[in-house]
Amino acid sequence: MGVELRFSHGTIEVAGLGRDEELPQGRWDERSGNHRAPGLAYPALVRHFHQLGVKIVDHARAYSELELSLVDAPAPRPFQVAALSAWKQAKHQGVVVLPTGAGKSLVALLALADRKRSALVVAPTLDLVRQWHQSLSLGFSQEVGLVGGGEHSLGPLTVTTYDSALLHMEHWGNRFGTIVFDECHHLPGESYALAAKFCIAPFRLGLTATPDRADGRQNLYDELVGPVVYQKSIDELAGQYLAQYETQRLVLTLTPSEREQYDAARGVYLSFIRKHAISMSGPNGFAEFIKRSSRSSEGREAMLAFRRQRSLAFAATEKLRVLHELLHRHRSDRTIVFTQDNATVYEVSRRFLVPAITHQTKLKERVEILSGLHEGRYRVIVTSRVLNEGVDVPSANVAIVLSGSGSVMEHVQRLGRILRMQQGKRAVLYELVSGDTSESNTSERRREHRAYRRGSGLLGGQG
Amino acid sequence: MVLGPDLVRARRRGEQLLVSELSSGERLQALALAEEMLSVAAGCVGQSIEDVETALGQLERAPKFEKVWAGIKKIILDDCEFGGTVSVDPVTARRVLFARAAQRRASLADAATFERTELLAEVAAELGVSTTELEDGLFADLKGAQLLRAAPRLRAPQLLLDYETQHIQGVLLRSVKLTATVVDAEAAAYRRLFQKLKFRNLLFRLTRLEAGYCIEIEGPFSLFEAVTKYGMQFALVLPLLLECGNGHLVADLRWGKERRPLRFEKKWSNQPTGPDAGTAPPLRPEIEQLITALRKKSSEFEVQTCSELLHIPGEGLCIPDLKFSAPGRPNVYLELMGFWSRDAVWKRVEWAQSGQHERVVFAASARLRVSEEVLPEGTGSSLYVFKGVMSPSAVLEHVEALSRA
Repeated sequence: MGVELRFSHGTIEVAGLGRDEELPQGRWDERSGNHRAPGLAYPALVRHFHQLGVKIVDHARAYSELELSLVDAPAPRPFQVAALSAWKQAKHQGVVVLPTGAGKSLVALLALADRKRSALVVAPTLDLVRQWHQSLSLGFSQEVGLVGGGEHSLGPLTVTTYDSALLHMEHWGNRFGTIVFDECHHLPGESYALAAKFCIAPFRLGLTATPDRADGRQNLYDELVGPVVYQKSIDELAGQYLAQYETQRLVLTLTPSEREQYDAARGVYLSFIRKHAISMSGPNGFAEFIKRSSRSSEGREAMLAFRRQRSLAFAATEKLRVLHELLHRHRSDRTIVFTQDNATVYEVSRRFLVPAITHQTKLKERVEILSGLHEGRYRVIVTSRVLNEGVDVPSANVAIVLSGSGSVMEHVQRLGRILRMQQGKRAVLYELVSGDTSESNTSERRREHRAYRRGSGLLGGQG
Repeated sequence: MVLGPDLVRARRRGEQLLVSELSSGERLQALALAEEMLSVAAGCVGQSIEDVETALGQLERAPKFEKVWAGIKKIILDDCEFGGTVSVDPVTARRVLFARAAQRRASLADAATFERTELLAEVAAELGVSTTELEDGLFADLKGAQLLRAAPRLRAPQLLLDYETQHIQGVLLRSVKLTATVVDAEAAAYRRLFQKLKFRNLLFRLTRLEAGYCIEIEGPFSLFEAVTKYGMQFALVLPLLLECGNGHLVADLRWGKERRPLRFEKKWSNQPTGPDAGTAPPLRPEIEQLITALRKKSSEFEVQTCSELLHIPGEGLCIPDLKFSAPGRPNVYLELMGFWSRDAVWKRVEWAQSGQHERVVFAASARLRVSEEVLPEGTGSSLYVFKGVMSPSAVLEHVEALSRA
């Protein structure tokens, strides 16, 4: 007497058991008249039946063994070898934490070559997907599939976005034996976690520079990928494996006219939230503000005032003047300018005639801009949040944060963009802050990380 | 298209989500607002999406109508056609201009300044446009810069119907499970509903009630976790559910940023929901023809249209068209198979062979190239293969045989 396993929309259907029999992570499903378990439970189910000596007719597994050997990759550094070894010891399930630029993707390539199974790499942005596509194609000299951004070619080695993985994993979650979650701090989000649960891959690797999440859901790594098996921080690798760097915070002053407009707009906004007793520091403060502001013309004015004071601080005249100076000072370097909002991206792009990347930039143009920066055709690019993570521009050595959120993770990721090691490289991150505005507090919050406490300077302090 | 949950007019009372559907008075107001908004949108042809939004935003509306306005605005914008009208290809212009600017900036001496205006004029001349055209066209492909090319085609009454359906669908986007109690539905309506459930990969539990059925609808993974992943599928199933006779729907939700567990309830009574609103789903002509022919025959069996559901979990669902009943005899059902799929016949065969079900005659056209022998005696069901139209005599023979089996 045996059992039949079938993959069905992110779950495993088990036929051939009595309804009262127990399964690891599975149970009887009255709706379909069989047992069912999440896709994630596939390895546990197979082990369970093997231990009981029950014959399995396995229609669930649709992944195969591959001839995978690295043909074009640098020799791994000692910490990369150690990371791979830790992952193997953890039964090929776990998270490796390494700073941006340290070479996380090589750890993944080594893991894929070690397991030799059909594999899926999941990354948060199309830029990263493109980058992974290139790394896998070159590394294994094989055709690599790509799903996302209008492409849909599924192969034994495939790269996709988290959004596409969530959309499609219920259909092809059984086609991969190894899965790599790049920037895996995204994974524990309520929706994306399902992509990991729908997938049957027994071998799972998570990669991130910033494992902690503001919502504390990093404790889900154990279930979705495996525990953190190896960790190194920026300051442990800076100098030897990462570029030397410094950070400079420039506090600037609004012009008198901007100050007047800022105070007026802030007054309107603050008076509204005080009148309605909205606590903006509370967990739902901003949502409450949006809700209340839509109910009256006074509220709509308050919302406009809120946006006005923010945009005054984000793109203050003095910031743009200093940006002009910095671009001139670093005209021989490769610079990435970061902003919090798209309006400032386009303002900077028009004013300084530098290419812009936002969520609206099509993949083909993104590729052209990033390769242009890499090859020196462009020296500066301006972006909002879409390039915060993972995009590999080895030659970039200057980051200018014109504006940003209070997220430590975002700020560390932005620093990471310029840290990839190159001969003689010294990186610098400038943070431009409009003094005596709400931006000052935001800036203090996002610098709460050891990477910023080390080697930081406060320059220029005009405000 | 479905409205997002942020556009749903709702408040919480205890564990209930009370959704404010439009009252008859509000409906008139909303209709007037929709007409006005359509007229404003029609007057904005040639303007940017930002200008269209500003123009729509300037319309007076009561604070309690803010979300109605926002929902109608979304449907109107979805129905608009936007596009760009520029004299230079923005992507080419950016590539040429920014590369030249990078080159120029990198070659500057320490004391030199970057001459933006000069560079713009130089590149504009190369591209054969004026400096203004170059600057205007630089990001003309962005959504915000697109111009309204054609006004919405929707008329206000249809817009409002769409709004009301999408408003409820917006609630269901946050649902983890639907439980519907349905009575007096036609077989055709059930058939459409269950085909949709299957198409959407949804699973169901079916319980026969004294009158009608209770249908619990979930996704496969819902067995382990209450997830909103299937919310869009639920939303797309809603119009077909509302076509099923009279009913009562309970949706288990995870509402708001905190994903608070709430319940939403809705009753309907042959609610009009689409272009065929208010008309009962018609019988298939072959079935109508067969009923007429059977009633002319002398038989102890009484024939009537059927709205019963025969379900065996794991094996499938059978939705017969007709029920034959006679005193002291078990009921026999007839399902007319479609012409398009032989697979459906094999599924019925498997279903019949699983036992534990009612007696069913499956009527299949000879065009499906199947033989009556595939369903042997003793399975409690039979296969009737017909050429052209169904013969009432042959049908009665099958019914007779099954009722004796």
